[in-house]
Amino acid sequence: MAYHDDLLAQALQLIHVTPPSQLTLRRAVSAAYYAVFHYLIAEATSNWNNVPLRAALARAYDHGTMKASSSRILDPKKFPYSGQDPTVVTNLRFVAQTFSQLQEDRHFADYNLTEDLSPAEALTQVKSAEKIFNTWPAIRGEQISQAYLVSLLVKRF
Amino acid sequence: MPNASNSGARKRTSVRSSRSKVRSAAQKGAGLSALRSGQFTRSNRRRDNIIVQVPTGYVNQAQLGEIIAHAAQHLGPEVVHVAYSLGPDSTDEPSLFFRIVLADAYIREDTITDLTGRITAALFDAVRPLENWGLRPYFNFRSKSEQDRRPDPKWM
Repeated sequence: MAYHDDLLAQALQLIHVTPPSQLTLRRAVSAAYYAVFHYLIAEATSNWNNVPLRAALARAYDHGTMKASSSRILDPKKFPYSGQDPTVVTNLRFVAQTFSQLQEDRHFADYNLTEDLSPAEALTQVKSAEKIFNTWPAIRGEQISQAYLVSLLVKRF
Repeated sequence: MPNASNSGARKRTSVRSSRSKVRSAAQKGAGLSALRSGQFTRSNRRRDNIIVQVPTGYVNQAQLGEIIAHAAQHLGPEVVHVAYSLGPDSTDEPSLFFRIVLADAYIREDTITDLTGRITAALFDAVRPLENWGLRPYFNFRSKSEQDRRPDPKWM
């Protein structure tokens, strides 16, 4: 399995640990975010023909840029996607919104110990990551999806 | 009706919804407060103004509260309570944080993603946080029993 698949599997495994603990819940959310992070980067770099250099290219991706790009396409004024299949647009925006959300969730899970992460919160977050893995294959061939992947790398797209 | 837990604001507005499962933006000390443009941090919050200013413009919390309260009325029996707050996200971008309490009976692993997706879409479409408010939206969910067991003011 690819690394991102392993991370998602780990997140799902951790979310089912009984009884749950802050350790298992927080590690599950963190793994879920990184699963999506590496999945999207793998999808983007798969367009690079020189296969041995894809991993090096992947190092260029930045969390902040990826989040900004993901948030940007949620604004219909800036990205109306006129003439596009509404289902594709909805799915693409789901991926973008969920990526942005998961990054924020990971930030909480890894750094904020002032309040507990609840099992239901962690479950919704991990399952949303899983849904990205189920949603993306249906839209990866669309030009707007490929443009989104490029935007993840570019600060001002 | 929703509750804006923008700490520090002291003024209260008259915006209230008759619904029992959510509280208005005016309650819980939300009122309308101000943040200086480009300095959207907790330490820079002004406590007694009536407008929230974010780098992309002003946020009228009363108006925002009304919109969220109206949207919350149509979320269905799964939703026990909707709270929200304004503040910077982890990258210091002005953001709108929804905290949604769900009835325990509806939290099932096989359906939770569809449920939260539906709620997220409904609030997103009603509020249009980016295009109308310049705020990045975030949605978090927990169960009623979790909130009862460990009450968190941010979720009330």
